[in-house]
Amino acid sequence: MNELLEIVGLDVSFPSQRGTTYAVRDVSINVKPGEVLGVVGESGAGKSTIGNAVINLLEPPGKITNGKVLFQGENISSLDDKEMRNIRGQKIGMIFQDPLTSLNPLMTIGAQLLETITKTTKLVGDAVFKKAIELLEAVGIEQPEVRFFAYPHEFSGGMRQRVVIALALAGDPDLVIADEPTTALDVSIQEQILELIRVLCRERKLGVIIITHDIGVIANIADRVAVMYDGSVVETGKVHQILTAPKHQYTKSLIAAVPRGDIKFKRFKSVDYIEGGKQSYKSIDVDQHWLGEKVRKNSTDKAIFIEGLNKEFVIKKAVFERNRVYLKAVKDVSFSVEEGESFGLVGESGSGKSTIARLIVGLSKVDRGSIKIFGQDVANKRKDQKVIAAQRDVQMIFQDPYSSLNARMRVQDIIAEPIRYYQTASSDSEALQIVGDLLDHVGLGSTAMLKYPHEFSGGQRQRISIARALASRPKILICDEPTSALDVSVQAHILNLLKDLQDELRLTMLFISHDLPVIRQMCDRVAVMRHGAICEIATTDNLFDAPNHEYSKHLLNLIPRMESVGKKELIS
Amino acid sequence: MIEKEGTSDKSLLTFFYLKVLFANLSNPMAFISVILLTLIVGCAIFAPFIAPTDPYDLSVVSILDGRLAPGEEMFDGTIAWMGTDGAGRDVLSAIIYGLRTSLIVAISSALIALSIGIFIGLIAAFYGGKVDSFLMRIVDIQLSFPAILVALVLLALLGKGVDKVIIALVVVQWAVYARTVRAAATVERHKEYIEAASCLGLSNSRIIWKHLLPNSISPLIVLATLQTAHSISIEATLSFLGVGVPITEPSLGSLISNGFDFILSGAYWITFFPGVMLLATVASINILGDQIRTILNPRFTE
Repeated sequence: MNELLEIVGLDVSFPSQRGTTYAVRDVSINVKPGEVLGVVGESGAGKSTIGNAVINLLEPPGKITNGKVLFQGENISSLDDKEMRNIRGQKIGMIFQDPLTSLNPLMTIGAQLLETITKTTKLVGDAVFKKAIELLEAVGIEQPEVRFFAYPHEFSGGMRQRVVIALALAGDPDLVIADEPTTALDVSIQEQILELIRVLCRERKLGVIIITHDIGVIANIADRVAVMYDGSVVETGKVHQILTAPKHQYTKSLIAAVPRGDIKFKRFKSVDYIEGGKQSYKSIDVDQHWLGEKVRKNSTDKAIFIEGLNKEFVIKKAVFERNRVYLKAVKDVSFSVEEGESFGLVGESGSGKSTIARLIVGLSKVDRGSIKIFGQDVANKRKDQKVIAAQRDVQMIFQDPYSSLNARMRVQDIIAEPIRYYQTASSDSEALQIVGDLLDHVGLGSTAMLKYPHEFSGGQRQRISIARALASRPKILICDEPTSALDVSVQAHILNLLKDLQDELRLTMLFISHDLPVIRQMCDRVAVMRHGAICEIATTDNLFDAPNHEYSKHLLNLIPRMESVGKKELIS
Repeated sequence: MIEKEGTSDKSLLTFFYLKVLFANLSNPMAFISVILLTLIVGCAIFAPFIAPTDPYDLSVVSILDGRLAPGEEMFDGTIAWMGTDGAGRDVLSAIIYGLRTSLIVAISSALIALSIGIFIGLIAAFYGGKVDSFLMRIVDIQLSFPAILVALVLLALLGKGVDKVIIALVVVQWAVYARTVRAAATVERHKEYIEAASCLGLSNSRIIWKHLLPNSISPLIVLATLQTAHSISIEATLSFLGVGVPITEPSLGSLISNGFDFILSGAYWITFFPGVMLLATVASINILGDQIRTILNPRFTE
């Protein structure tokens, strides 16, 4: 047989009281031994469902209603649970997304490895232990005999994912399904894990299915790719061909929407294939409207001026000062942002960028240093009237759209709250009128007013957050990874919206992200952060074309370059 | 699907009641308990209209009716379905009125303890740090004392009376509510919508009452139901021991206590029927609380 896995005409549906959801429709894909197939699509496309359907781990009430899954020539979709258990682990291994929850926190990793090896191979006794150590070495864990006895929480995220990979390979499977294996990891760790998967699969001639929403990952390690939209496969083919010459409209717009690190466009190309394209809402004429009333005339002060900022967190409490252990989250940070400028803070997780944002807004107390907003020092003088007024001028858009809105309030109340509290409108009906206008302006429409947040998608919720921020008529907008939790297509819309607002209202923007291509598109100047300190501050063009600091160079190297896919093909 | 957020409170309540009712159709125990509870609450509310006699109207009660067996006829012609006690009072009527007292005491104390508990729990969760530690230590101390003991001591100091019983029950119960609210509120406290409210410049009290409170009270619905059942049984214990409600406003506990003397002489019904009623009330409230918890659990799929 030449095909390791053949999925033929698969249909998966989820029946429920409200009607049936067809998660996967007539999907046919195949994988050869030694080949890496990527399945790419946005949330809700059905890609994880396919992975689950192959090993028959669909979450009830999901069922395969049509089609079959042929593994090494045999139809495994009709096997019962007992027979399926022989296949899982031994023939097909699975790697899940979140390494923290896929490992049992109460067992040492050694115990979990021993358990898996005993179940999936015929080894006994000392041979099992030897195999476990072999596996740990193969996935790159140093001092495996010592780490064998460690618990999952004693590892970092990347190391945990390596352990998960070791578990998946324990039974010597022929096929490995990796469901978003690197989504929860940092960019540099991501690179290492993908490299590991690529090397192991070449060595052991495994077939791999990589399920992801990130086209960069696909460009990195996949040989062939299947693009999914709304439950069906819209296009398949070799990675090089799909990325350079996509045929289907959705693939084209999806690739175009991914922010590119090499050139700066004025606006992101938005993916209009989805949901029948954009609906146009009424736009506000900013000069006439309440929203534009507070647009500041030029002032000589810098919008944000930070000097010698320091913040420490106590990670080990003790009664006596000398026994406490501190984590320096922000170390002597100084930078300034001009009015109307777009300033980026980029760094990996733990670099301190979100902490700086919270210090500026006043959510955390400053240990040492000063923060001046339009000349007014706002560090730690919480009760001062002038400080309170200055801090109202700074509003924040948060990262997680699912927890940044009060689930028990209607959208109109959420947005109207600052207007009502500060009585900036002359009457309640005017306040609601303003809310309606704001909702139109951010692209949601005033029909959203009476609804609750849970009725909206992630991107729509971010629009509500933006409208809420605008209702305070701020001069400075801090965006803390506003699109990290969103799909690429939605990201383009939200980022375009932010840019439009910045132009209209002459907002100053502090944009925080770990995603360098997005920073390139959104910001004029950038500061690169690492472990709480600033490595480099430069204009975006200078940073991307000629970085100074070692770390900046390292980060730039990690941007998956889709243009280099062609070169990889030639080399390998 | 389960909770339609956004509908008005009244329709939410009726919708909820019907939902609870029909959700229990498949479970006969639960169905019976919901029906039973409706009857009990109905009895308690409409007591003067339902009870065959008024057992505390001294002009009607006659000692000649004393210790009649269930089903026998009283002096003025009404049938004592559950017999009469030593003084000639119809046990059925006494139960109906007694239910009323028991439920009033239990529900009032639950509501007051709930309010105090919410207040303290929210303050502890919002401010955190030393305030949280201090308040929660008080809660811990309160919870480490056995409930009956505390209530007994309090009532010994305060004396008899329905209001004093309510005070004692509040003192015993508030800590459980405080702890539960503080746990739920601490989770919500760190979510981004609270931080956003802070960014908007809202005052602390507005954030606590308008944003933190509505999102922290869902575990309380079940807790309040179960605590109500618990306080009915505590109150019954106290009355049985003689320190609870006064003789003029008996509750189920004191009825049981009254009848205790008669068990050995054969007039079992004076203790037995109030006892069964107490059991039925507490059990059905507990089952109901359980069902509500299952229904409100978002993982409860069709």
